[in-house]
Amino acid sequence: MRTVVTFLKAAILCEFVIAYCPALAASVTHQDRIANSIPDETHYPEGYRALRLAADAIEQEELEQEQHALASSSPAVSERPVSRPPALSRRAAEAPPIARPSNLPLIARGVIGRRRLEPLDLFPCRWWLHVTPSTSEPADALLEYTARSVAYVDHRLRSYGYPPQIFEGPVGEYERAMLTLALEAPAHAGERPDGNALPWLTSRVDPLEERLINSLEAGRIRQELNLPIIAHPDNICAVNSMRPHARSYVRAIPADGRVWVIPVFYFYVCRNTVNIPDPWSIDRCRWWREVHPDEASLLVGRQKYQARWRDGAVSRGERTFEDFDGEPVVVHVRRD
Amino acid sequence: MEDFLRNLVKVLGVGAAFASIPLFASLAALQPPWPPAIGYVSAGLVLLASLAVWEWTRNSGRVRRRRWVIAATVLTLGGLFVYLVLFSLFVETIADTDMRVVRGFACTPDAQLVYGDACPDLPSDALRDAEWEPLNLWTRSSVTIVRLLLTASWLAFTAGLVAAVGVIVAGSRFSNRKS
Repeated sequence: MRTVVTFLKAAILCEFVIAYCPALAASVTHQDRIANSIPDETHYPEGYRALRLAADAIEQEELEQEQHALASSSPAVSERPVSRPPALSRRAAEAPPIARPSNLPLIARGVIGRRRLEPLDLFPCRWWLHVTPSTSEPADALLEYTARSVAYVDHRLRSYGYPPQIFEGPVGEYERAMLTLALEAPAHAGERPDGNALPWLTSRVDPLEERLINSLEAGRIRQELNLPIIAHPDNICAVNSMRPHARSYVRAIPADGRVWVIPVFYFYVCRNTVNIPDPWSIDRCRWWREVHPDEASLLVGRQKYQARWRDGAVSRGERTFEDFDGEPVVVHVRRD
Repeated sequence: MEDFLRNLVKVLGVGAAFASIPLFASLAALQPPWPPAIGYVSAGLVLLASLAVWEWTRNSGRVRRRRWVIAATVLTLGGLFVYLVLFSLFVETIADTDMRVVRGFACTPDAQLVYGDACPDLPSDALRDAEWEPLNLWTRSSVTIVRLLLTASWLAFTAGLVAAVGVIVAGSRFSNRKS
């Protein structure tokens, strides 16, 4: 009898080891790999490395989900909001989750380890900027954006087959410049009566993204690598490439621009009215309404938009707002 | 008196059971899109109809009760038919949502300017271009009339249904007492 009991104990122990040990080992290895891949750089502000680790874990999870979704032939990207990494401040923790555009085309089509020839969009709609404008602590917010964007860029480039020696330098420069911006942001927040530094930030982040894209493209061409090209972001974020919610913040980039919108129906009314020669005229067509960057506007259905900057530049277009609930998102109208 | 209260409770119970019909109907997206609290309006009407039928038919004879049943059935089927026709003609569902809007039958001057001869049977794209607001495209009076007709036919359907059941229940009680 004792022999039987001992045998059963041994069997249970073996079963436990076989069932759980590989998972535990894999988990430890995964955590270690992420931790080792992000050294604690001297120029990192306090708490930033923790954000990077969290963002890396999220991106890794996203990639694995995409892989799994693709393997099971189901849609790869859902419309769920992306969870945030641990925030540095209470205010950042209370802010709503960062919304990811519903149909990031390249991600949806992406296959890890499979050949991809579509352009690679590293900044799809700049989704890490889609937050409410409550940025009285802009440094914390930008640190979080930086962690998410660097992790996203790093994982996408790796999964698309870019060799690390091509992108590690430019991505590192981009990260360093973004962190510098984060340190400068509080001073510029004080320049505005409402303390909102986001318009200032968005106009500074743009050139950094462009510089990173140009560096990566230069590296790819220089080494004659047969890899997907890096796409430049769309002018507006972006007609039919995402489905913003009905309440949206519409902002011009650069931030000194002003944006007006009009339902397409009333645009046609103005176009068909004899004494209104130009339906784009804000003064003559009375249904144009200005949307302010810091106010959530109710935008439903098909709308025409136009943005004007101080130097006289104008950007015009049309987009459809189809969702009627959920968190508000930011829509950027960019200069041509 | 005790018998009266017992039977009254029974009829109220049946009325309450049927009051849940609009709730189920709302789940099936059948109820009218206007007014917003149509579920409660329907439930109140069902309760009222069950009490009225009870009051008028509890002591009626078989022939009279059958007339009530026929009238209630006609009201139910007629209300449902009219409701479905109106729903098909004038209710538009916003794509990818469960939100519905009621169209009108007379275009506003602005819609006439844009769509001309296509008025008043405008495509659903017209609603999307007008922020899904029917009053931008159709006159308020025409939209209001359609809304009222939709609601009236829906209420006729629910009231007829509960009246038919109420008559049968009241008749059953009457028959039992006679026997």
